[in-house]
Amino acid sequence: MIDLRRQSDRTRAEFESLVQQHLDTLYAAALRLTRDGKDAEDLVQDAVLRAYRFFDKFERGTNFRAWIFKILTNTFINRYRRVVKERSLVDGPETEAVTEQFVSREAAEQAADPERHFLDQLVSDDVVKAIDALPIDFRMVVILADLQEFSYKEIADILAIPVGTVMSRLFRGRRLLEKALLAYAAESGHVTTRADGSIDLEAARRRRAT
Amino acid sequence: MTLDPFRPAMDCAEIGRSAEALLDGEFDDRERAEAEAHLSACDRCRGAVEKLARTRTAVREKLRAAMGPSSPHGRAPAALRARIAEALDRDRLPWWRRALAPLPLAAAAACAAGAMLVLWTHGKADSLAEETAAWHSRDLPLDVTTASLGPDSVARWFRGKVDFNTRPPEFRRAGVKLLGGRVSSIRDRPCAYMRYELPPSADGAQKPHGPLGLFILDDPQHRFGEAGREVRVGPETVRLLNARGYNVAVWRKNEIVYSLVSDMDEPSLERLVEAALSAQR
Ligand SMILES: [Zn+2]
Repeated sequence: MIDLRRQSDRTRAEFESLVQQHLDTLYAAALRLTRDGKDAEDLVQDAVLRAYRFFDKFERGTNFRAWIFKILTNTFINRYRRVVKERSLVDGPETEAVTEQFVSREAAEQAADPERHFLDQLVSDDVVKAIDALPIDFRMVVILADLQEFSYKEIADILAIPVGTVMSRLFRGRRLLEKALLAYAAESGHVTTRADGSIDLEAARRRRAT
Repeated sequence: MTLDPFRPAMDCAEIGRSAEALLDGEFDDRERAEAEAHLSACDRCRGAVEKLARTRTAVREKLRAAMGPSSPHGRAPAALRARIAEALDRDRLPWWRRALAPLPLAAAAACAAGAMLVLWTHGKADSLAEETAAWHSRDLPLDVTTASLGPDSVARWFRGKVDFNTRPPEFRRAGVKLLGGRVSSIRDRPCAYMRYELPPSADGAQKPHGPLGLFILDDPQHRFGEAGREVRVGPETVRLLNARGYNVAVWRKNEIVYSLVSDMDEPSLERLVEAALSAQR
């Protein structure tokens, strides 16, 4: 039987206090999904209003953050995402198992210098640009895992995809992000690339020393 | 993972495949113990996992600095907090009516948030009434307000933003006040959206009504043919429909289509449209 009463004041207060706790992270995620301030605000408002209208479906005591992020990403996918255009970028060999080894060679070489990580010098603008350049399916899992720190299981639930797909998207998304970050680092002179595209850390060190 | 004493210990290939899951804290105790046993014995894997961990930590720190709560990208603007609180205040129409109206009860009862959203968008091609009611219910902020522009300038403000003249019906005599406008989009085409406030007791209802939403769009190809109950108002044919818990009045003037969305009951909406259209003549 459906309860025909309106949301009570108590429900409203409970809902608002939960939403207030998560509004910053919802906005941060929305901004990276839409890449536009106005769209991000609209997306958050849409998701919050929708969550409010379905708040009776939320099981008290379960993970509110995961629940409202599911509504946010759903709203985004249904309303904001240009399905055809963005989809074609992503659905490649995604179904193949995660068999690639560790980290990309460039990033591994860079990481070999524990004092100065190649990322240390990067400015936030470049980090934002690198994230925003990721194809949307990878961007979503990287944001959910590395910014919002959701578990694989939670991400699988939020995006309604299998855990294996989360893992492969996360793996590929992270490698693409590292590559992009490295490109920005190279551009700003913190690392140098050889003619074959690999990284010449020594050259960059020599240049920094002079 | 089951406890199997005969299961071979994790090998290099397995560590290589699952290093990210290990670092992401996805291993259970037994898996972690196995991985640690391998890493303490295998320099190659240990070195690789350490490098991976350093990169992972560095990337996460960068992400936090660039878009975490201490950065401007990671903080909801104060205006957003305010407008969400306002939207919740205005969400007066019983939430269950809007939420459940377009769905059979069985589907509505069964659905979690996700399933509901999918049904909403993929259930069927929406009619104009459906689309405009859905857009109106989002209660998005206005681009321009009567308070800032004056009541006569809102329609003019749309010039250049939509490629037709927006001539809203004359609601003023009915005591209906223009609040402002926003460019909306219906089926990927820009259209004019105006929001109105009803006088306190338009139909003698106890609860105050939510705002009216008026959509004006051009439709030279007659993409929007509406069903619904037909009412003649002078030379105009107005169709009255119910969509998503709202009552919607749709009428056409040559290539321009109007859709008026309201939470008033149908007779009240009909009277209002009649008053507005006859005031225009
Ligand atoms: Zn090994």
